[in-house]
Amino acid sequence: MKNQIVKTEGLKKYYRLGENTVKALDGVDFTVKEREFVAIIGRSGSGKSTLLHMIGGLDTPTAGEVYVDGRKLSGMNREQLAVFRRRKVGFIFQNYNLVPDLNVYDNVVLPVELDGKRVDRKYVGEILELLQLETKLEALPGMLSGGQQQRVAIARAVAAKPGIILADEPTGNLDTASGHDVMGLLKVAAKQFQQTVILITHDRDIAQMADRIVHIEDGRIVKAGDFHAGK
Amino acid sequence: MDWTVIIAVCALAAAAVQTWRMRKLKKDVYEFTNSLERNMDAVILGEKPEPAGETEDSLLGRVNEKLDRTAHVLERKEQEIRENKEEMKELISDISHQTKTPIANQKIYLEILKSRSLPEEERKFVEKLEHQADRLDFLFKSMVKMSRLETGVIQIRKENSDLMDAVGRAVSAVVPAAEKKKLRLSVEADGRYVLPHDRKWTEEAVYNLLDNSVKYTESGGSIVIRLKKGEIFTEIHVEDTGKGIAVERQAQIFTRFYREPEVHDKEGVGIGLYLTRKIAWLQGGYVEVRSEEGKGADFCIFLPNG
Repeated sequence: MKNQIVKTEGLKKYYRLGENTVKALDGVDFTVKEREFVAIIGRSGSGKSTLLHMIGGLDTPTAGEVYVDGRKLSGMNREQLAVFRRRKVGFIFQNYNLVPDLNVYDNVVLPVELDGKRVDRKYVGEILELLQLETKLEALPGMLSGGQQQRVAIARAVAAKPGIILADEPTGNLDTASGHDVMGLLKVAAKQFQQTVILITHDRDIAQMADRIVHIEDGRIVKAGDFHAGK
Repeated sequence: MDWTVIIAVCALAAAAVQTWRMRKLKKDVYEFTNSLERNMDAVILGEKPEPAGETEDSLLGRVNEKLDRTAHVLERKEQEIRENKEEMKELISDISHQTKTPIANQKIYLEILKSRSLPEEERKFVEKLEHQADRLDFLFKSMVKMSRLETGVIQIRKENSDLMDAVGRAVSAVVPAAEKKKLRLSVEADGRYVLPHDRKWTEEAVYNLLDNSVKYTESGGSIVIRLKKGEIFTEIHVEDTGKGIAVERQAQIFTRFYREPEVHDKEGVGIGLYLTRKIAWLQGGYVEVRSEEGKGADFCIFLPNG
């Protein structure tokens, strides 16, 4: 039995908006097993981003608990959370978030170097080859297409060997074809380098590429199941 | 008066010494941890830890020696795993070799039996026996293939060649079965699709998809094989007008020995799709299915271009 790497219990996030209380998350129990590739699908405002931010330690819940790799996030202070994010979580964002004046290679190894670790050149080389970036090492992000930039972001997330990769609408800025390519490569890279991926999207077609799809609506999980393909 | 000065001077000196010692201790701890981290990194990367102070009876020396031993233990474990794999490989080849002959003999005897004039009742049984023998044969072959892929005994050999070769061979292998069921087979491709792939295993992967399509498409239906070169992946689609797969079962169909509930009368053991997915993974690609119940299925193998 594979370990549960992510677990949330009765997760709630309420915002006060004037007189009203907005329930961004309203009691979410959600688990992800190690090396799973899960898509969370929902409309904008459904709470999917809030959930992803909680798991990544970017936001704190009103009530409930988040466990990542057996550790409870609510007990951590700011500094511990920062270390947690750096070591355990790889983020992939819709707008890539690459450093514009560092070349592809330096962007990829940046988190590893920031953490004071030695760069495993062989490992990084394998990742770059898999993502078909080996000819672009010297290029600056601005010279690359959107799909290529997102591939660099994937390489960066995988290179730090995090426990989980959280992807926030990674194909949001891409056309259908390159979005599909990026998802395919994310899938292949996650499998090859044994990563767990949680991805949020509003796009059914993109979600279809995950092992499992979780539907979220009005801050609640409405359907969770294995029903989809391409495992 | 003098005494107070002396005491004050002594206290100051003691404080200075204490501070100096604390600084030194901090520095020592820092250096120790640093050296330890460097060596642990080396072990993680499978290199030899640097022999700093190994011969000294210092704490660092002792820790480094233990680290060195840890690296040795890991290396031994790896060696063991390699040997186990080797054993597994021999076992599989023994099984495949030893079962081949009896099954082949059985089929010959059944053939002989069939050529005799048998009463109708007996003939039916012989036919059933033959069918089961074929199935056993197929099952054994598939299991051997599967365990070879699983244990990494088979190395995928990627060579630059035209994907159409592998696809063409797979297609011609299903032509007889498709003709028997009056299925229209067509290939849509333009140009060459040269990319690094293992020809033999890719053929197997495509064949498995085609074999399924032929099995699950009713007479008069059609199967289209479509190749498409994208920026990153080349796609091999196998689209049929068959019975399709319900969305909630689309994840399960790729698991080992999975059979659709209503197809137990059809031939097959539930290995094909599992193998196809495995073969795609081993080549750095993946497999997808788009389908709805009753509306045909579109299976696609994605293989990386370079």
